[in-house]
Amino acid sequence: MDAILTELIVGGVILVILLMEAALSPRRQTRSMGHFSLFGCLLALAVTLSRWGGEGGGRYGVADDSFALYCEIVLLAGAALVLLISISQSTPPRSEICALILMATLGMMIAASAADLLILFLGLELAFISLQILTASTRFSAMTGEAAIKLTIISAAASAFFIMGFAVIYGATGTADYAEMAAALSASTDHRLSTIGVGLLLIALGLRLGAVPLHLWLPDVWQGAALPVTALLASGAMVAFVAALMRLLAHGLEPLQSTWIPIVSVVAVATMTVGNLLALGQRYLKRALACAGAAQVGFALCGLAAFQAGGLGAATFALTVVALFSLGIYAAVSLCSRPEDGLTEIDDYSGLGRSHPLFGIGLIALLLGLAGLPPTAGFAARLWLAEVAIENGTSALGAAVVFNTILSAYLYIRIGVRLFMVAPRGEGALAVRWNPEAVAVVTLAIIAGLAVGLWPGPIMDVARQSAQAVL
Amino acid sequence: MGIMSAYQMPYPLLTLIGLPLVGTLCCLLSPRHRPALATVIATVFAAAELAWLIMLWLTATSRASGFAYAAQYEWLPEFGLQFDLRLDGLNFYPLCVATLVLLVSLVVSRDENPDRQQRLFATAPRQLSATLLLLQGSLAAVFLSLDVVLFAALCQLTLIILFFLLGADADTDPDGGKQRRAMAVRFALFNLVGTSSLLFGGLILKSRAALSGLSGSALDLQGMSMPFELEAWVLVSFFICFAIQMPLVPFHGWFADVCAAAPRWTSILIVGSWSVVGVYGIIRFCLPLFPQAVALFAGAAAVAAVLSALYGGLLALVQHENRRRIAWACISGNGILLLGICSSTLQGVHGSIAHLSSHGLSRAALLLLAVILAERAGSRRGTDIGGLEEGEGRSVAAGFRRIPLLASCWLIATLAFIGFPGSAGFPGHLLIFSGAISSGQTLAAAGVIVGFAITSFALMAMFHRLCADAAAAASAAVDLRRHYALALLPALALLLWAGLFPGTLLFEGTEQIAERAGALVRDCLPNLSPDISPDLSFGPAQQSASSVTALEGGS
Repeated sequence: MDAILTELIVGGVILVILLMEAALSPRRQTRSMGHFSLFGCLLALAVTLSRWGGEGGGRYGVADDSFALYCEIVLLAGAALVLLISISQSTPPRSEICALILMATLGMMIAASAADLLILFLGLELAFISLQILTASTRFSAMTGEAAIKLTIISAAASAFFIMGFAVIYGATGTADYAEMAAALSASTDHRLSTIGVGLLLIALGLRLGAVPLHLWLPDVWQGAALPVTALLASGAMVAFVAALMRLLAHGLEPLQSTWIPIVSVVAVATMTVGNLLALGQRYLKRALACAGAAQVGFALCGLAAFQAGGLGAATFALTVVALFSLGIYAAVSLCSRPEDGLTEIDDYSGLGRSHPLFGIGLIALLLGLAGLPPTAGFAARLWLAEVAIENGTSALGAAVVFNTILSAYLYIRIGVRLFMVAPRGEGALAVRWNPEAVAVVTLAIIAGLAVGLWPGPIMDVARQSAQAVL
Repeated sequence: MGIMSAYQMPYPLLTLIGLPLVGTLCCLLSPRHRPALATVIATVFAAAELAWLIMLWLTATSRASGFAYAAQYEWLPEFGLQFDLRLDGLNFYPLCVATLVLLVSLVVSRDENPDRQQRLFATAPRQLSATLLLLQGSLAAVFLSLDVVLFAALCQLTLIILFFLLGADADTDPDGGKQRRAMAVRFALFNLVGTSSLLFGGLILKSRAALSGLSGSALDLQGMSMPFELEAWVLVSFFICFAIQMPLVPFHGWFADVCAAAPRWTSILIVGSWSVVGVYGIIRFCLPLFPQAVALFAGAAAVAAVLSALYGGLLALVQHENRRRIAWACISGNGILLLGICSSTLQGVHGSIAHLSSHGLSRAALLLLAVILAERAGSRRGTDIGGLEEGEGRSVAAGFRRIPLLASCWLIATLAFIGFPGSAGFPGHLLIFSGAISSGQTLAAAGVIVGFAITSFALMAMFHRLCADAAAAASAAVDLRRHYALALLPALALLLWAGLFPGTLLFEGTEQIAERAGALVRDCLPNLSPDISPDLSFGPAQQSASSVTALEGGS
């Protein structure tokens, strides 16, 4: 029961929201539902925090180790911030939106703590179906419809690959449980069948993550989805799916590491480089952030490729930091007005730092964090990743991390240049509407990001120890 | 002095970093309606920093032999990162120069030209003062920190602050700020590549050191044994960073534009502090950590020095704009500094250490004068003072009399820059060239001398033109403003003093450092046989490879 206590609480909150939607009049629902789901989220977070240190072994194919708890805490905190961004929008979220955000988070939590391929599939499906409905249900820009359809097709394809991979692995090992799978794989000598399974599973999860060369859908979907949904995709989804991949590869498929480490290494370098290069050419802000977001997945995959030298801790830390800064960025973007078609260009931010210095400086701090430059936590994350890669004996991977940081920095520098060094556009200049919820998210992200950047020790320790649990 | 040294000052080095940061906060918290107050606060803090630094130096007991002060603070113990702060003759003088340049920069940051009142920093001196102090704090940390990874990280931080100082109010430029923006971005990209390369090299060194249970501090790394191949690669990654920072040909792409288009407070910080970090880094890290590789590459570095000196000199000659001419002259001067370092003799390295500070100060002073002149003339391109036609019998002396303050400041800075006998640059040049010749690099020394002679001619021609134009100007030529001259006074006085009494100022506490750094490299020279077997084995790589095979074998 303990193993899935958090999931049960979140599920209960979702049920209550759906029941109350039926009971309450539509007018009273809107504000109160957002706050109620936020409360439910924080309750689950408190319960999870209180269980820290008292992990059990895990049952029902759900791991209950410190890594699962860590992911749950990050995902719940992220969901709380996404809900805050959602509440801060000019039209407060309808109750089903809140329920769907929580449902997607529930799916992500299950995926991140799954120790069984079936449970992993369940979590991934729950998360993705919720995300599809979320994307389709708010008309954010002219691209929304396209985004929803693309996400649906990609999700279906990913599921198909996953089931095929699952079937092949099951055929080779006779089990879906990670621990038994690892035992069966290391006992056998013929890995031809299971290698095919690994490939199919990697395609499935790579599609969901948007890893190069399966990244083409990512910019469209991120651009078309409403801001809270993009924030959820950029924070929770990324953390959960990489965590699921980490657990699957480093635990269940650990005996096949000589097969998947080269693949993951190549994909990591390709994702970083291609993502950052694509981001440079983008005209629209959310597209650019999407490409850069794909690159962030690449950075985390570097940690996974170097998992023997403690890379999982580095990857976990990097993902946490990216999620934090991404949430801050989307909250900050939500403070700005949007053009008619909802497609904000990077050039629209020209001169915004001059007219709103506080906003400009805040955005710069968040951009530095995503770029991985000092003194933010992003720098500590990149440093750790590069160090782990070098210690693992893969100096080329470390070099890729360091030099991709320059590439990614160029995008963020470009936005910084627009903010402070270009005269504002006369017509259609963006306005900044301060509202307390989004400002709270931005402030939290900046303060936490800077504090962790200056004293990364404690959080790094937690990430390191919890990631140890996977192995 | 005896009494003073008996008193133990609390946190001597941490104060050097913390004082400017406290000043930053004070500037930001200063009343909004009295913007001039922030500049005053910042100036007081910068002066206090300088006073503290000098007091530390004067009260130190062991400044001749080793580190006058040392302090270690744990930052990320499990990561092997610590603040290993040291103060010795090698970083005291550059840090002094950096602080002095900051003081000047603060004084001249007040813009009295009504045309530019719209600029961000012109209307927000609080933010400018705060950013400048923040920069000083981070620069102090750069100079004091001996941990290679931390040094690289701090360099990157400094670079970000400088980037915003360079471009922050470009949008109010008359031409829309395109030139300024391009310059700032180019500065950031070039140096980001450099600092990242440094960071990567530092990480490789540190992971290597962790195997032997050493920290990442330069002192620990000094004795570490490394395969020669690894040493050479890490040296290259370090050198790329420092060569971009200095800059040397062919890494100079960002430099002339920055000197030509940066606002005056930032341009002098670039040439007086940021570029100095590059030379300092080579002496502090490259020489002691990679003596074998330095011994191997000394010849190549000498070629780079000649290239920089000659190319910089030739390009300085053909520039029409004073600031660009000075920029190329700086590149040419970097050739001399590098020549001294790669001679790896006591005189050469010692000369470079001494010349580093005086050169930084003189070029910052010269560039500041040129920027002030250009801003006053209001020209961005072309000649700075109009109607230039030499040889029409205009008397230099008459021009000198019309602008006595500007011309005399300019003359002092120029003479120090070109190393005229009796000026601050002279002893450094003398040592460097004698070191280079005694180490057998006569040809390189000759090349550098020719290159720098061209530079000297270009700079003297610039001075001549300044006076001739002042004499020819129809309207009354405006002399240097009093408070600008006052701000420059300490720097120029130091340059004069250092030229007249070099033994008292430039050479105290640096000789042993130079001797040690040079000796390490010299020791490697005879050992260097051509048939060094390439050894690509990185310790950790080997380990993990063997563990993989063990796993495979097990299954």
